Amino acid sequence: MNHRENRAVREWVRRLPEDEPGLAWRASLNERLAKEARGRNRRAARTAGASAALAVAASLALWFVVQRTGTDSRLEAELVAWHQSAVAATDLSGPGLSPIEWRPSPAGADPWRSVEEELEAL
Amino acid sequence: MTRWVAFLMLAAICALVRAQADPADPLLRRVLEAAGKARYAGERTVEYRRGLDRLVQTELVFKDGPRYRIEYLPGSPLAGQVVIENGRRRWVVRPGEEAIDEGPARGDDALARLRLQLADRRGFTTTVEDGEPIAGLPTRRVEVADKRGIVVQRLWVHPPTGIVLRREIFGPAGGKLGSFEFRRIDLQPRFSADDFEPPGRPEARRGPIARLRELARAEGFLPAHLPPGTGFVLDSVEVRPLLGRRVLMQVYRGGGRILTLYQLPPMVRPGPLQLARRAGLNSYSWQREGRSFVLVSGLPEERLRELAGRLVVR
Repeated sequence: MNHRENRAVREWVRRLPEDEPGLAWRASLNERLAKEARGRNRRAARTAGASAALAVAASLALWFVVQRTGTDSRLEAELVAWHQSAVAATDLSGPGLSPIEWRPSPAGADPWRSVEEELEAL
Repeated sequence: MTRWVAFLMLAAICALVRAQADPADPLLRRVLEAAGKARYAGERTVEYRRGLDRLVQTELVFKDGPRYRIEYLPGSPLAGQVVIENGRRRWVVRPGEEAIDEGPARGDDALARLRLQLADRRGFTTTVEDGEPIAGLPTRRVEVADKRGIVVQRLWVHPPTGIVLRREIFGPAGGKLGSFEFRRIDLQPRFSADDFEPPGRPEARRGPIARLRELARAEGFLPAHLPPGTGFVLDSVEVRPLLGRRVLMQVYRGGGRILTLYQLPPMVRPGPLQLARRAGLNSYSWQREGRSFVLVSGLPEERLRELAGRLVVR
């Protein structure tokens, strides 16, 4: 475009009528946006609240079951037996390897032999 | 003058306490003394029982006073592994593993509980009689029983040296938990200069807390442990399966006592375990950061509660 055409376009744009949104329209838009944001926050809060409630309920349920029924007696028996074995192992092994430290060598097999394996070996 | 009387009284009390703690039988005194002084090289079999299963290991034991070297023979599942102890520190070298496990020396801890039992003359009785020869050496058999008459351990002692040639340990109901016996023993051994030297480079050595952290990271446990200053040192750590769950087990030693700390999912009611009390033990369990922790030991429950409060996670 040459210089004269540029000036014509500028003049034409200047003569266009002003089209500003009205104050009432702006206010209603702001109100709608605020309402939308409040709803989004409430949904997020509801989801977080539900997750927290679920976690608390699960913990309470586990706590209630443990309190009500007590510790599983098989579990208690194993924990006590393991301690007794550890004491005996310390007395027997001295500075040597106690069973708690056993890790088979690369070429070694499982150190524990079951009764069935003992019988098979015979 | 008053100061001198007080000093003499204190010295007399100390001597009395020491005399009470020392066993009356000279053979038993020799056993306790030999722990830090004896010298020998021998081959022994060690048997452990776990429920119906059992394990028998053959070890070569080289002992020079407080120093030890223990080797596991070919054919054993632990073949090639070596334990070295120099009186202050202990190292475990395993073929195929980059790290060398390092920890405090165990010393005569194997006899520490015997010492406690012998000192408790109301709780335990001791009988000494002739025993059968073991590894070609004469023995005297020592039997320690609780006040109900249930045998807690038997020892076969070589009288001139005080060396324990055979030992059997029993559970609270009299069931055998394990034993060891020397097959061969040389009482005039020759050792080479580097038999008891620390193995490998210092940077290749890894302490038990480092191993605990590695296991905790790999298995999803908290790196929780009893810190130094509690009177207990971490001796060993492992993860075991139990009722479909994984349990982190830590064994601590201190003052001749063994303390076991368990970490597991929150499935233990806080407070003492009922079965521990029935077995003549004390326990204390609590929950922290969504985990159950349990301490089991012969220590008083108040002490366990105090130790629980000193647990650190780092």
